[in-house]
Amino acid sequence: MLLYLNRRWGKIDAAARGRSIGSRLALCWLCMVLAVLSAALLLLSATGVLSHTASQFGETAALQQKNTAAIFTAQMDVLTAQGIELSNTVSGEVESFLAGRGLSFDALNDNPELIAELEDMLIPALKSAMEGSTCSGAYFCLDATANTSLSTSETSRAGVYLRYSGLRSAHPGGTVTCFRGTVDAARRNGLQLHNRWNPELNTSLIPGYRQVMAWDGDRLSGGCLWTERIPLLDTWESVTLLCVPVRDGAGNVRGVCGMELSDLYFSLSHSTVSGSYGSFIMLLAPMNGDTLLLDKAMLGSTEGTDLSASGEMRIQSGRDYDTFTWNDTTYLGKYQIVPGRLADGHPLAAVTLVPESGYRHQVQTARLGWTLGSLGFLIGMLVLAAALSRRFAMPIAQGLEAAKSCEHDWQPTGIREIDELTVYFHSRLRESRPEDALPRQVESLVSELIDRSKGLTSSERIILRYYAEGYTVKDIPGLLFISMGTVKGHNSHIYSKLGVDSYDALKAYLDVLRRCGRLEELLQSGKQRSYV
Amino acid sequence: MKRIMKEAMGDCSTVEEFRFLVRCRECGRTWHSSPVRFSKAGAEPKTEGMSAIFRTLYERERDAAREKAAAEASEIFSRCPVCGRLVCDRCFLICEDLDMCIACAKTLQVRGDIVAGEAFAPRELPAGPIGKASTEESDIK
Repeated sequence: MLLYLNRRWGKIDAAARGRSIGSRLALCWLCMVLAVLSAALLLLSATGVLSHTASQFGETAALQQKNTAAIFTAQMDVLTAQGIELSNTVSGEVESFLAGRGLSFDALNDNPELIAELEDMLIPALKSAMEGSTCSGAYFCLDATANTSLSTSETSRAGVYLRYSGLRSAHPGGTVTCFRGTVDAARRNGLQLHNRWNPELNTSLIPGYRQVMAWDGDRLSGGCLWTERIPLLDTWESVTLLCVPVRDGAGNVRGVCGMELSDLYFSLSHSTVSGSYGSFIMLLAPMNGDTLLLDKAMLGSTEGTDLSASGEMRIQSGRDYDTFTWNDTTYLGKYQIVPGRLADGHPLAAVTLVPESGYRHQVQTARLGWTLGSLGFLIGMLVLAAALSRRFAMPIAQGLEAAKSCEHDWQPTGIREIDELTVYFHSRLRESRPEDALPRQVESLVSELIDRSKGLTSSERIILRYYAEGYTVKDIPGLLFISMGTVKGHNSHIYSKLGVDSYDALKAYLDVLRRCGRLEELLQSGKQRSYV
Repeated sequence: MKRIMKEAMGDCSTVEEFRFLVRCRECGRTWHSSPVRFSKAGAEPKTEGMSAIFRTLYERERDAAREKAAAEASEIFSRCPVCGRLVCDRCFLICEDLDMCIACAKTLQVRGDIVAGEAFAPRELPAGPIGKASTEESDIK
């Protein structure tokens, strides 16, 4: 008995110590909520809402574009300043050269020796300006020619054009060759002649030459021009030239000088910038409306793309980035107008772009990453929720089984409420079932008898009550003023309705019902009428 | 019941035997109890004193026979709870709620089973081991 009580109290303690069903439910619900959230996350990831690739790319492109524009602007500003300095140097040298000899500027025409001597004197300054700049060449030309009798004398002008040959990197260096200039001046300065050398410059190939020569202003910076990309005569190279007026002491424009940016040098000095969206390409292009004139543009390195300096590129502005279409190929990026005059009057745009394929690849990668992450999270949450539900439901089922069974050696489920319920059920079962309880078969028999008694009439029920009170058959006629035949008739009805075959069996059943305390149920069930 | 029956019984005893009758108030038939012979039947009292003793003895035995006859009559007669009449089992119905005589059942339009025999069978009182029934009216002493 003591052992039993100890076990019982132990279970009650365990029931009290177990985790609450509420906490388990909360945990399960938390997992379900997280699963729903992850499902929503998955949906958003699959649709690309979460990846924000467009806006992120827009920010990246804008940042890159800002850098590109700053680089281009700084380079053009520096070169313009150096070009103005070169112009001043050339102006001063020419002025002193002619003044020392008592000659006017026109004296240079048809005087090759004088031109050669002047060029010889100016080459060191030109070379110095070239070496101090981030350019691929430098030049000056004067409004004079060595032979005015030639048919090309109108466009042929004396001057020196020095270029680097064999550029290998963005840092200018290597051999300086004389592309244009007299042989004597080149030799005296130890310069090699370019393999496409000519003694004078062809000004018809310099788009801004006439504009600069016609310029009439105070500040040299106002007369500076950049040419579009032009092919360099007799070579496979293209260049962009800075044109700065060269004035004499009277302020008349006597020539043009400036720096050269070859496409090779530009390409080397502006390599692609690798990023997560691919390689950003930088280019400097004249802009005509919403079209970039690539055949007049300077392109940075286009490594890894098919982009070349030809044709036109249409711009379609977007919210986060702009779309550039060139030869059915789409590029994405940004553009910005940079300060600087072009000879043909077009604004100059600094452009940063990346092939769309790189962007799409990045979008797919980002979306795939988000989707896989969300899917993994969802699966994890579902598995966790399923495991928790199983852990949650199994003790409940065990608890219900334990509650239904009357066994004393049930195991606590670990859920406080279930264990308490089981303990309560068991205690109620023990209280409701006395030790002398009838066997289950007898209980069912009694129930059946009570059920059958609902068919008894009032007279039969009254007779039955007399029997239950201990009267015999012989007593009934005297009690009810009826004959024995009537009593026997009632008895036969009572027997058939209750399913008993004799008076002794009826008495035995009545005794059982009295013992069960359910005799009144038998006597009072059904219709209740008084016997008058 | 026995008291009611004794009150309703008629006495048709003779010097030789004791016998009683009960008449069904519905069908009018009479029931006779089993005859009980007087113990001193046929004996002539010699003296006046003996004659007085015989009379006393006769009275005692007649009361005993009446008791017995009432018990016998209770076997086949019922009192209708509606009209209060004593009727035989041929005229008494076991009904659903309240047993009653045929006449009351007809009046109240209640159906029931006749205690003894069919409802429309020729009316004869049941021939039990005790007593005898007949349609004749008997003289009551």
